[in-house]
Amino acid sequence: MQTSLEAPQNNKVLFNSLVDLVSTDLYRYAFWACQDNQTAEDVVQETFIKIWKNIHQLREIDSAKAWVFTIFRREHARIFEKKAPTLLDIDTVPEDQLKNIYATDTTRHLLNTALNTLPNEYSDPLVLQIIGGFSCDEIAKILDISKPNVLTRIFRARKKIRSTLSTSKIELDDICGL
Amino acid sequence: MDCLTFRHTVLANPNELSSLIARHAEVCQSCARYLRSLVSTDQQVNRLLAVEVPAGFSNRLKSVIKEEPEIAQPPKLKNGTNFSAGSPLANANRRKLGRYAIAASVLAVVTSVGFVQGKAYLNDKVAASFRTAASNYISSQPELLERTILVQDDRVDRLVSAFGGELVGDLDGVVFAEPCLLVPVSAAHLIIGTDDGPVTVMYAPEAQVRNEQYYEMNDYQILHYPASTGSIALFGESKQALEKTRSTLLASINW
Repeated sequence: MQTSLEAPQNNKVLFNSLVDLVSTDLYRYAFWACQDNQTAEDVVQETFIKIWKNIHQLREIDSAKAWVFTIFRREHARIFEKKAPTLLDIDTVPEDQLKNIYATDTTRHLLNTALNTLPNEYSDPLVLQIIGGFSCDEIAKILDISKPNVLTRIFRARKKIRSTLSTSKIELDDICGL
Repeated sequence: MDCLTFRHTVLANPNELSSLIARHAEVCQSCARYLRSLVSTDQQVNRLLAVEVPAGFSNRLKSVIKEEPEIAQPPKLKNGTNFSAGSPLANANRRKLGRYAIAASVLAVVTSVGFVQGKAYLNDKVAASFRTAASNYISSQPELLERTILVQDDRVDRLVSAFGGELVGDLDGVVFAEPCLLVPVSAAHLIIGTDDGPVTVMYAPEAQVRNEQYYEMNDYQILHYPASTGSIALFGESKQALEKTRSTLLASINW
């Protein structure tokens, strides 16, 4: 299978294809990282501005998604260095957005708590694997750590989540109603 | 491979199923259950994190690059008036503008054709990854194909609904109905018992294909065809079984 960028030669074509391919996963990852939809949207937009400016640096389409996530993480760190997190006034948040902010049933809440109480160094690679579908090699590149380190962190993250869930006696099948 | 190594390995990545892992899962029911519960946990986490993307978000991102150079306007003379019509400068400028206009039109056509090609190219990659991941997943859980106990209709109905579909007719012989997290997409996973052996149905709303096509992978015949949203891949032992199942699905599920 062809992996070079010979197919979409035009940068604009490539950019639009990248948006189509990556923006949903990236927004979800951003929402998880920022815990706020407006900030998530802003950081993703800043990320794509950076991508447009540097799109000539992209050589392999297979690594495009990991490249986008790496740029996002840099932008996220840069923005959050300067910006104090905004406190949400719950009364002003439209009701349809609340479900994106809070888990609205008990089981989701417990799962959310299990994930959010994990240290970032553990939850980050797990979320990249689950949302982004990245391999351990790709996660190692995105996080700039070694592959064994990624494996260890994901291993511990899953173990911790399972332990939290089993303590809470959650039947996982009940969560999705199946 | 021993059970401890198996569990350590799948805890790090339940989706990267090597032949060693698959072989161990075949012979150790306990570890196979453990793997299924891990995949199930991942599916829940995935669902938890799958927040709705704001409407029009991708279009707003694409507009980031709309500051493209515009077609040149006729330059003004130093005294502030435009070139007068018929003057040599005006004619030269008009020719130049004409060339710009032709170039812009050609670029627009090339860009739109290229965009469609680029998008189709990426869609093909996602669809191919989906087929491979699904095929490996099915191969790693052969015990599922041995099932004979029928799944209750309401379970099938809920799974179909969860993936945006609607059960519109009788779908007999379903022995398995679960959501399935495959890299790079998630899918509704059904197994239907037929006279020609079990057929696995994977419906992936995010994997698009342009035409129906047959493939062969891991000793399975695969029929991958477009649905109204995404695509459906059928895995079975014979093309005949796949064709029959496709007809059954067409009559019973709106996807």
